[in-house]
This record gives sequence, structure tokens and C-alpha cells, in this order.
Amino acid sequence: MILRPIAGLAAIVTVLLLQATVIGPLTVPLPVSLPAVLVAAVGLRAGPAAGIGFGFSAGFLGDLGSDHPAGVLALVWLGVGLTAGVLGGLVTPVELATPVGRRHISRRSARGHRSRSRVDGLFALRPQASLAGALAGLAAPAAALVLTVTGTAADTWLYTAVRSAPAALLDAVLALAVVPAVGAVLDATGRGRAGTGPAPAPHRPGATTTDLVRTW
Amino acid sequence: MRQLTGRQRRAALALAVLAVAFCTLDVVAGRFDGARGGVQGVLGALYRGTDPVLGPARRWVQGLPGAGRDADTIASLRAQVAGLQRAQTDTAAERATRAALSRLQLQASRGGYAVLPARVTAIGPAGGFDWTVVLDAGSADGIRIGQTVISGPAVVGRVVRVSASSATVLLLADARSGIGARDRATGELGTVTGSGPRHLTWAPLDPAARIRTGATLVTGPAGSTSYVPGLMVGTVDSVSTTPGGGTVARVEPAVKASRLDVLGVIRPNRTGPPRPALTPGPGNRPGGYWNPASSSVLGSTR
Repeated sequence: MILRPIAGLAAIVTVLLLQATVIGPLTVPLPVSLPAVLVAAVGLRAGPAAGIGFGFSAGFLGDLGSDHPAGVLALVWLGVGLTAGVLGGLVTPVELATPVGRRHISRRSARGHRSRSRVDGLFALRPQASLAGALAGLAAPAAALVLTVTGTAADTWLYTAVRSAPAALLDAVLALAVVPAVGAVLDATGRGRAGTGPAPAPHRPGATTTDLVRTW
Repeated sequence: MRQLTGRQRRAALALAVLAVAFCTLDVVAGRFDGARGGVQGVLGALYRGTDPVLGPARRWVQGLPGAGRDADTIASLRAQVAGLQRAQTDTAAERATRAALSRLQLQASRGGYAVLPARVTAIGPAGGFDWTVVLDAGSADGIRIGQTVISGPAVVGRVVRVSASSATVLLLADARSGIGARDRATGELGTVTGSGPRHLTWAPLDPAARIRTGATLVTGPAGSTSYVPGLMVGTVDSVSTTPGGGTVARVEPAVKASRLDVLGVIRPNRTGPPRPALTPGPGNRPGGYWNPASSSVLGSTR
């Protein structure tokens, strides 16, 4: 079980590096946050307890790596992890298998798309990615609010809030990659989905979302 | 929706309080400066370590939105640079031409003859000679066969063929070109012949004449050549003895045959006052030159 903390620390450091060197410079002036997406993904896939702990740890490390007061990101990302963990039960692929979603998948499968399993997999992740993007997008105005309260905000809260909507979209796009990666790591380190029974069956090549839904 | 257990609620609350406490401590007392310095040092080292890998990818992606604009800007700047280089080249060429004309003007004033400027339009063998140049001026401009061609104060060759609008000049570099030259310091006379564009050969008339390296040669009388005297030919580079006991000198030409551009053709009609005659000095003593303009003796042989 020591693998899980090591993987978590490696993930935090890696996303902080990517945020500072790639994501941040490429998305200026939008407050897109890969670490917040990761925290949300952990909360979604591993539950509220893991979301709380991971969010606080990642946020505190991010605080110490930044110039703003320590504890701001720890508090905000703790909230992100907690919220994602609580709401994660609403956006499992079981709930995804709505009549509309099923019709969409069936149409694509009937057309015989070569990459339909990949597309279907992304389609299945859409609610989780949307939720992760929304939570990560909310993290920026929340952090701006805390900074405004502490009197150390560089931008006004309204300015940050306005830019958060497009940032949330990009966060959701990032979540499409981050959520399955987190799921794979959790599976590899022996932790399944929180509170929903056994770990999911491995993804078979060529399986559609309908197949996936049956296995969950 | 997942439900929080009581333990999870307490943990979340405790961590939230801890975060607020951290925030308060840091804002009020800066308690985390040391920890911040350490973490930023580690993360900074990692940033620098990963930048060689991630930096190029990031810069490539950052350049994508402005790729079209950058291409247009680069094309525009290249055209601008090409135009400036052309202008600079033109300016440099004009400056060289102006300098050459100034030197010709100075030589015309110094020698008291008219100099017709002309530009070299071709160089190469012609009329049985290896080293000739063609000028863009001809008989319509007053050029005649045999006239001396100069570049500044230095002789270049003589006109060997003339048409209405061009003239062919036999250069000193040609092996069949011969010119009378004298050592300006000693007055020793000799014949300079061409040996290609790099150097000339000077053979003094007196085989026993002492020639020193560095001596300056100027045009002087030799046979029936029609060169204007007093023009610079070159500088003695080295001296050697022939098998027959004579002395020859290798001469560095004053003007390189391969770099000719604006030349002057000397038209020997004098522009100055008539040459003064020698007159008896006061008391019938051998005197000096009589200068009719100033009515004074310019020099004396005593």
C-alpha cells in the first residue's frame, strides 16, 4: 500500500511541473489548472476521503511553490476533492447509460466506425470530465475569493470569475485524459471506485460503452 | 451521491481549519517563508531540468496561433533586409566611384592634363593580348590609340584599339606590354614588363645598377612608348640576379589588374600655362626657372 502515497506524490509533482511549464504558459490569461483537474479526478474515482486528503496535500504543496499565502490552494482544492468525491456517485457510467446516450452509441456502432471503442470510451467519460472541469473551473474564483479576503489578490475576483467559464471548458478537455489515467493508477495500486463495489473489469479492445456499462 | 461518514466530515473540517490557520499564520507572520523557499528551490530545479524537454514543445504550440502572421512578417522583413542590402551596396559602389573620380581629378590637376573618366566594361584577352580591358568611352569622346590610362596616380596601360564608343586598353600585366620606368629615388631607368596580375618585372638598363627593395618606380621614357611620364608603376618587391649577370626586380604593381573599375584616359592637351623657358639668371649666371606668373625665381641650381 505504500505505492499509493508514492504515486500520489509523483502525480502532484508532475502536474505542478506541467502546470508551470506547459499548461499555464499556453493558456494565459485563462486560469486553467491541471492540478485542480487531478484533484477532482481523484475525488471522482476514489471517493471523498481520498479527494480530501489529496486535495489538501496537493494544494499545500502548490501553495508553497507559489507566492501567495500558504493554505489558500490547500483549502480550495480540499473543497474540490470533497465535492468531487461526494458528487462522483452521480456521474458513474451506469448513470451515463441514459436512453439518449444509448441511442447515440448504437448509431455510432451501427456505422462501423473503426475507432468507435475509443470514441465510446471518451463519450462515457464525458459526464465525469464535465464535472471535473466545472469543479476545477470553480477553483479559480474560489481561490481568488480567498485571496481577496486575505488582501493578497493580484486580480479582482470578478476578473477571475469571468475567465473561469472558458477555463472550465479547457479543464474538462484535460479531464478527458486525466480521469481515466487516475482510474488506471488507482486500479494498479489496488483501489477501485469508492463505495460502488468491486473494481471494474479491464477494458477490452473493441468494446463499446454499452459493453462497459454492463461490466460496471 | 456519496454520503460522507462522520470521520470524513471531521477530517475535512480539521483540514479546512488547518488550511485557514496556515493562511492566517503566513499572512500575519510569514511563518512559511523557509518552507516556501525549500519547495520553490526543489520545484525550480525540476522546472529547469524539464525545460529542455518541455520548452521546445511549449514554444512550438505557443507559436501556432501566430504562425501565418509570423510568416508574413518574416517575408516582409526579408524583403526589407534585401532592399537595405541593395541600397548599401549601391552606396558603397557610389562611394568607390566618387573616390576614384576624386583621385583622377587630383591627378589631372597635378599633371596639368585632361583626364577622361571611363568605366571598365570588360576584361580578358583581346587582339592577341592576354590582359586587356574595354572602356565605355571611345573616339567620339576623344580617345585615341596610344593614350595612357591611369587609375588615380598609377598607370594602368595604354589604349591599343578604339571604336566610336569603346576603347581597348593593354594592361601592364600583359607579358607583351613594355613600359619605360625609373626609380624615383635614384633616377635609374629600366623596362617594366608584365608577368600576370600579381607582379611586374623591372630590368634596369644598367646591369650593375643597385636596386633596393621598396623603391618606387614611375613611368619614364623608354624607346618609342607614349606613356605620360611621372605616373606610379609599382614598388620593388624583391631583387634577383639573372644567369647573365644582370639584375632584375620583381615589382608589386600600384594597381591590381583584377580590380579595375573607374579609369582615366589622359588626353595630353595641356590645360595649364605654357611650359616656361629657361632664362639666364641675374648676371648671366646659370640661374633657375622663370615663372612668368609670379615673376620670381622658383629655384636655383646653386
